[in-house]
Amino acid sequence: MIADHVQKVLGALSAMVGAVISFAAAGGLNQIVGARELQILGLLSVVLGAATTASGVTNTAKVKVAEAMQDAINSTPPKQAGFARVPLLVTLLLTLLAGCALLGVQTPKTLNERVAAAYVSVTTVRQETLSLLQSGKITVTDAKNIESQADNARAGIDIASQLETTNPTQASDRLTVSLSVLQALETYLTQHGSK
Amino acid sequence: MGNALLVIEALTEALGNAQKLSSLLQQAHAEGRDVTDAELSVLRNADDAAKAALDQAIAAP
Repeated sequence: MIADHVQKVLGALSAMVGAVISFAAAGGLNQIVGARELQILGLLSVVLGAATTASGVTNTAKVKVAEAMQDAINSTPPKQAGFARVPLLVTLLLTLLAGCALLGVQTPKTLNERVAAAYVSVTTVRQETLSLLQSGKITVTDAKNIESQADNARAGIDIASQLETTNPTQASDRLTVSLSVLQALETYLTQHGSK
Repeated sequence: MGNALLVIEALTEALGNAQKLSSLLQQAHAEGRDVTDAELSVLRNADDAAKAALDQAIAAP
């Protein structure tokens, strides 16, 4: 049971790293909070994370005991309310944002830097898809669909890279579209990785 | 537990990607230049390799 929780946490973390890369590529980190604020959020999220995880494990144990008691008296077993999913995901995201700030992940500024971040992001999407496929969390059909979207995003990034010198505005637009696709894929993978 | 190991591997790869990107940007900033075409080419090749691995897993019975 604890291994299941560890798996959920790690799965969500894995997908969220990719999400943060996409987010950083879009320049999102600078627009929201500074590194100092992220560090404070990091400390808060560590405390919240520990509390949420402990609470999740404890709640699961309580549900198991309740189920056993309900079975003994042959009544309807209680419904499991889940593993504090939304608070956990928020906590993990805050932790990850803070972690990236502490690790010194920089926000890409030039078009080439954004292109670089986008390439890393699409690679991360493919690696996460492979992991989820191998662990049976998504089907082959899901994986094919994700890869198809990732291929489209990659094509857009390639075009943006080629247009960088001749038409920077169009290049930036292409890149923004590709990053939007990648962020949507990361969200999808995060949801499946935390199940 | 096998699934957890796969997820740990994915997490490691994702963190490695973030670290690679961070190093790349830090080096470019430190040298006062933009990311070069050669550096982008390395990233493209890494994505090609990831695509090949995913294709192989999808095609596997």
